[in-house]
Amino acid sequence: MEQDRDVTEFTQAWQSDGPRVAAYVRRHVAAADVADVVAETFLQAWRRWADVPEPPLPWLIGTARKVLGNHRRGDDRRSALQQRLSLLGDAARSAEDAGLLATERLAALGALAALPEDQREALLLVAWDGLTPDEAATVMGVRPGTFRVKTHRARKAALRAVDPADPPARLAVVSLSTLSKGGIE
Amino acid sequence: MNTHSLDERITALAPVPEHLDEQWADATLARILADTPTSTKRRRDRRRLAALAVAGVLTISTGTAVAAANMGSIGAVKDVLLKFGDEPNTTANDIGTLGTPELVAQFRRGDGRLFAFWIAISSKGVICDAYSDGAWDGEGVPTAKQLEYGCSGEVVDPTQVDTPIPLERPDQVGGFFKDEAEPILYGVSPYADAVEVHVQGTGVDRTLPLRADSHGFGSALPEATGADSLTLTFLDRSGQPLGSRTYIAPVG
Repeated sequence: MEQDRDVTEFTQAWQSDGPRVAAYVRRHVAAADVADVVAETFLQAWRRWADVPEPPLPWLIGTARKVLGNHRRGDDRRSALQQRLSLLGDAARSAEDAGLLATERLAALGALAALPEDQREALLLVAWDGLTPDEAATVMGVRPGTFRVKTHRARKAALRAVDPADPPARLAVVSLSTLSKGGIE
Repeated sequence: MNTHSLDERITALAPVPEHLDEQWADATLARILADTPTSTKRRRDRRRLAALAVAGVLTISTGTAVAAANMGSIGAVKDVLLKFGDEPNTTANDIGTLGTPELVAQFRRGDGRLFAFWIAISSKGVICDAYSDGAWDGEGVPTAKQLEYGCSGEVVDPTQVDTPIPLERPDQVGGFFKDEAEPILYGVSPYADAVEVHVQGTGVDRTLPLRADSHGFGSALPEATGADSLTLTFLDRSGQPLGSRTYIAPVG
């Protein structure tokens, strides 16, 4: 009976979260590899289903992130800017669906592609995957305050990429939200 | 363009999740379900046990009112960190056995907000910390939503913000923070025999006691608005200096 309930819950997660995990994976690997990563992610989830928290989506994305890490170690070509831009372009909505001009879409995707990976990940876990900042922080293995700093820096960097006239952020800003970071000489 | 409009553009580009190919989805789900779960725990029971553990912490925190509050807070902080360790892909994974948290500093700012900071060291030497800056009012015990927390991490020297240092010792935590109207100072003494710390800087000349358990200290320093750095001299029981440190305020 317990097994039946687990199968039911897992099947529901597969149906509701599978497409969302696939959407996350799609912006990291070529289309041909998406299915493999999604299947491996859910296989790991099933093997540890008793440990998967509710709701499962943040855990699933965190696990997909690890699976992708293994995947990418064998394919460093994906780190190239053009490759990232291509993956983001394939994953993102069309300009028409997003209500943007084609040039606006390209500029935004270019800015995202140019970000350091952890900053891009921080922005998109919330903006594209629909996680809360706390859930996204857990996925990235950082505390919520650190996550907010990453997203702040990402926004500033992305803004500079699309509008070079925007002044750079001050370098030495360390807010209380990053309290693990002390000021000791 | 401003950040708001860029945020809007990025959000507008969020992909619409596509349905999985039905044939592939059915076949893959069947293949996954044919695999044997390695964990045989009951999923919902695990949550109930976690809730009971919290209740247990609250139950045993008896004694004087202050002691009860401290013990309860420490238990609650440990519970939060342990749960963080149960989550996948967090800095609290694989850190060994978490030690009992110790309160480094707890004080109220001029506006009445309570600042509290705890650290806990794991059996593998990993330092975890948790803090509340106004979210917890000091009544009862802090909840996970009222805390910021994590393990390991990095320390930033304000003079070298691009080269963070791994957090490896309790005395690395803390600092002199001026990014709000009222500066604050907190930290942990590097000297085990120190009992108080003399704080000096522009407009600042005061002595703070060290906590006996964590060797921590901390206070709001409203008089420090003109100071860019503070010199801390750690004193032993006889008032003899054991050594000093300079804390530089992050710019903010």
